[in-house]
Amino acid sequence: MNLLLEAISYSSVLALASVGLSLCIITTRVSNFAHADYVVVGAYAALLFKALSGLHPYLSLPLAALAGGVAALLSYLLVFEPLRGRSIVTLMIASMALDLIIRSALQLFADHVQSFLGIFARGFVFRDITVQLGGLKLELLAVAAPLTSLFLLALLYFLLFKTRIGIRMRAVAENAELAEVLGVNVERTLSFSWFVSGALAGAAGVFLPLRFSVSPDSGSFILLTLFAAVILGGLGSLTGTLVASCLVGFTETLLVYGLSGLGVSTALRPLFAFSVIILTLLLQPRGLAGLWAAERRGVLPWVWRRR
Amino acid sequence: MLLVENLSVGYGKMEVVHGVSFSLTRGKVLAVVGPNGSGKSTLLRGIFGTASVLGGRVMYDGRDVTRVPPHVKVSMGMAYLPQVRGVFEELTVRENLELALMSLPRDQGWERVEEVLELFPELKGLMGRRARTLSGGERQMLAIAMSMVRRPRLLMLDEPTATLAPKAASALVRKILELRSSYDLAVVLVEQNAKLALEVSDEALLMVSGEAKYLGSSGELLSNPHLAELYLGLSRTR
Amino acid sequence: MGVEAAVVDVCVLYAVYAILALSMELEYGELGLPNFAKAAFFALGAFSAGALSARLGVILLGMDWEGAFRERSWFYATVVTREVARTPLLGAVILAVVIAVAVVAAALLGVLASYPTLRLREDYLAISLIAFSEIVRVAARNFDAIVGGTFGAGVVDVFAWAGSARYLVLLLFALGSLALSYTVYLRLSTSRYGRVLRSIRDDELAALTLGRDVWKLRMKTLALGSTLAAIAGVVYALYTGAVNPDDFTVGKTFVVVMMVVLGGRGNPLGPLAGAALYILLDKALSFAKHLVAIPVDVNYLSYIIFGVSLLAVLRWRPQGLMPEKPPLTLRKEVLLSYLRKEHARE
Repeated sequence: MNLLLEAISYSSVLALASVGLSLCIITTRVSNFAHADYVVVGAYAALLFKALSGLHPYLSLPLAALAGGVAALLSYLLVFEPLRGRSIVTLMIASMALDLIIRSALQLFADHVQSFLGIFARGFVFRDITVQLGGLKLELLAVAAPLTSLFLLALLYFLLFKTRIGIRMRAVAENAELAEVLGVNVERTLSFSWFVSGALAGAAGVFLPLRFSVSPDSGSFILLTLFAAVILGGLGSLTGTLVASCLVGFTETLLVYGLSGLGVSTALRPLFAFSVIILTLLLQPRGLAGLWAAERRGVLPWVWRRR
Repeated sequence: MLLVENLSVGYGKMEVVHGVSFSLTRGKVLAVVGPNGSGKSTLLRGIFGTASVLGGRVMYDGRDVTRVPPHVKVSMGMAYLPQVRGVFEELTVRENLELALMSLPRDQGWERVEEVLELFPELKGLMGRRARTLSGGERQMLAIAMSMVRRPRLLMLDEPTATLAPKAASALVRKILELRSSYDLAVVLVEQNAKLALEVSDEALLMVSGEAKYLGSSGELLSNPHLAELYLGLSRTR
Repeated sequence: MGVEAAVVDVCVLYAVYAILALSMELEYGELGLPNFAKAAFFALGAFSAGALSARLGVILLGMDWEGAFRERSWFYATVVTREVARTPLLGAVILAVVIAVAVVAAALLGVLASYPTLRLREDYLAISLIAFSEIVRVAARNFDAIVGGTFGAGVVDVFAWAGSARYLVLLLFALGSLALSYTVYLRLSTSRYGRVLRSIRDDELAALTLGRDVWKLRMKTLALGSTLAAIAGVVYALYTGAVNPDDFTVGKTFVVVMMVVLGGRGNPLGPLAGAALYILLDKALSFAKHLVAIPVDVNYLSYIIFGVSLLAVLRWRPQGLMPEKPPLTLRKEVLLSYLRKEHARE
């Protein structure tokens, strides 16, 4: 039971964050190594909220989403927009530098929070609410996490496919130059895309401390799993990423549980994500989306298309 | 209406177009022809603003618009159709047209699109289809329809028939002429298919290696066997 | 000790990083992206020293190894070191074997790593390399038999025979390795073949027709780059006297990337300048820590400063510190023709 809870909450966090990452990659071709940090930013926003208001972190969701969104927006405006047009490698290196900066800034923030508010800001967790459903005692997280994720993702879907801004976002993602020719303000549209992906990550950050101990460095643990979800799902496909993140989330949780039962160290947990990445890229680089889409104009990882 | 004076265009510091000049009035079609790599596309991009202008200027309605950014030129009535990929393949026909509509002030609603659809009845039945699923000719029609939504006064087309079969190509060209007449458009038509372009245009600009080798009536260029054969590969026997 | 030791200290560290930067720049030129698994190859060299030096010493001395590696490596390392102080030959043999193993292992691994490079887009290649690098680190961290897991392993001081001059000997060894690396780097990066291939690297059709040759050159470059990194790893292990898997994180690779970007890519001296710049900044910041009392943790602040500097360079001076220089072969010709003209004039 506990295991199921863990798998569900982990998958929900992954789903929100990796869909956000996928959105960034689709719109700007940047593999943003700082993306996982937006989740941690959200977690710290929730922590601050809890410390200052005394209310349960669940209520901090809008704030956390806002914090994550702003972090992503600033990343775009200050780092990636100025470097627009540069090589993929340059953008990637820039995102790594950004990751370093954000993580260090979070460390400094944690230091300050600890000394000024007297709370634990490293390795902190939130305590969950237990509810009674029928005769069953349930941790609220088991319900809140997947429901919120589904809700937010449905909102995203609505945004992308049923609104005008959504059309702009998708157009810019496909062909920014053409969009500009047709009079679309590309920079504003991209800013909005980035804000949305950051907000999704920030929202995920609220759930993270309910299950795992969070520190400024926590981003690095999630990042590779996020990439695993995006790559497995198939680049250029948001649905693929969603499905993949659930798969990865569940499998990783089960695997770690199983391995610890066998006496293998849980420190090997990151190995799973790594293996998924390497195996997917070598065997089925178009990911899951490649299985159901016949001829997709996705973002292919191959430099030369052989077929 | 459009006056290009001694325009040099390039990418970065590399100059591709050297000092080209021409003028165009409404209702006229100017064909820009020449061998591959002669800088025809670059010229258009320079006028529109997606390539660097290294010298000279572009006058539009008496205003110097050389340095004006592309999306502003769009609102001034300039329309530019790039070579291939003039539509969004992942969006539906309807969404493509909606997008074209978005750059207009709020009160111009869907009626504009309805207007345009009257000119492009072929598109009426394709509204819900993803652009990816359309044929080459249909896609080009959609691209032109999208630019017509804004009722431009100048239409610049970069090799619109490039990917089309001869039948679709001539249908497209006929459509362009229709639009020219209905809206009194000024049209700059860059074409690899010189014969087709010269037959339907009023004036012609022949470019070779980035320079203008001939500027004048299309008919004259067509009937000048020397130039026609040398640069355009048009055989003497018509 | 004092100043002299500190200077030797910095110089050895500089040599290590300079070799890493050179190997990185070499690969960056060929692959089109930095080798993000650099830390793994660096680790390979260090691990060879950590895993083998004590064990080998014990075998050569005819002793028996009692106890688990994790607990006893330090003890045996000290024992062997004492013997080395008496018999330089022992130290030399250990060093030779460690280097041989490191070089071979790194070369093999480098060749292996060249397989996916041709087909993946750069950022996904980078992710796989990072993933690979982390696998190496996590494996070493969890399998105590390699280098004692989180405990680390002790490294035999193979220069113990030099007595009080042993740091100087280490320095000589380090500088020698650096000189070797620089030579290799120069030869490979200015070879006509290399330049031609690099100029067509992005030309799809040309690359397809020359497929095998591109692949061969890449393989060669990666093998060499990995070997250089491994040598740096050996020097590093000797320098610190210990090996700990957590020293070889992706962060370390990133530091090397930073050096290469800061130093400049159009100039052979670029990597050298970048390594110098980084170490200078690093030492300056930790020195400033003693001078100024700021209410924030200097470590984190220094990371922020490094990150921002890197972004600033990428934005405003992407070519890096050193100005661009034409390829050496050309300069030599120009120089020679100039000399000939001068000679003719006299």
